Amino acid sequence: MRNERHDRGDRFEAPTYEKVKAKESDLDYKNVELLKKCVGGQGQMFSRRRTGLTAQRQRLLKNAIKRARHMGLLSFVD
Amino acid sequence: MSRTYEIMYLLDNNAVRAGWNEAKAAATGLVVKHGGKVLSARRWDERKLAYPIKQRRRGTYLLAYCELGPDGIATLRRELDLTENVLRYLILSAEAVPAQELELTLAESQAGFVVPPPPPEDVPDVAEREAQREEEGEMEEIPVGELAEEEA
Repeated sequence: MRNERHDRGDRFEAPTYEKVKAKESDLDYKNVELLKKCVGGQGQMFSRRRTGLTAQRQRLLKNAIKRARHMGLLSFVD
Repeated sequence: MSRTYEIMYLLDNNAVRAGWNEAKAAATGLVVKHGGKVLSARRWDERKLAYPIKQRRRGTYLLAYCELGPDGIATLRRELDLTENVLRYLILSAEAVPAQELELTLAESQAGFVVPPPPPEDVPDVAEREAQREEEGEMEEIPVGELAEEEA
């Protein structure tokens, strides 16, 4: 079976996402509004590709999301 | 050596309704009991929980900064686990107490400061739940329609 998209010369275009702008001090579990932007509709964390954060900041974000979930500020699953 | 810690409490609204100052004193009193010193304590927020905890749908958050030794932390955790009015807690080490926290604590301790009482539990009634279910049902139908169009 021929790949029509390939024959047309279409290239795969990676989707672009709005980058998350956050200072290290912003990546706190109390900053719920920011954390909500970094999780999907079902409450899953966005990857680094999606958030555009550095590895260090993504780790701070991960910890902040997990802490917020524990305190009932964010949902685990929606 | 004692360290500075940030402690966030999630308090039961039923306890808060009986009196905010009493609820706050009970929570911060535990730190003192385990050999600590409370540097600041204030109401952070009252909000709807992301998921029910011990059948509670709303709760009040208390943010405190304390100085406590390492042995105190272990015993404090054990006691907090057993305290019914504390639904959840989070203890983190902190570099220092933010200046803003001290101000807000001072503002809360002033005589004129009124802590708003927590609103009643908003348990969704049966009609509301059914409306939600219908909405979800509609959402599921849309992708099916799109698929059918693509196939055609």
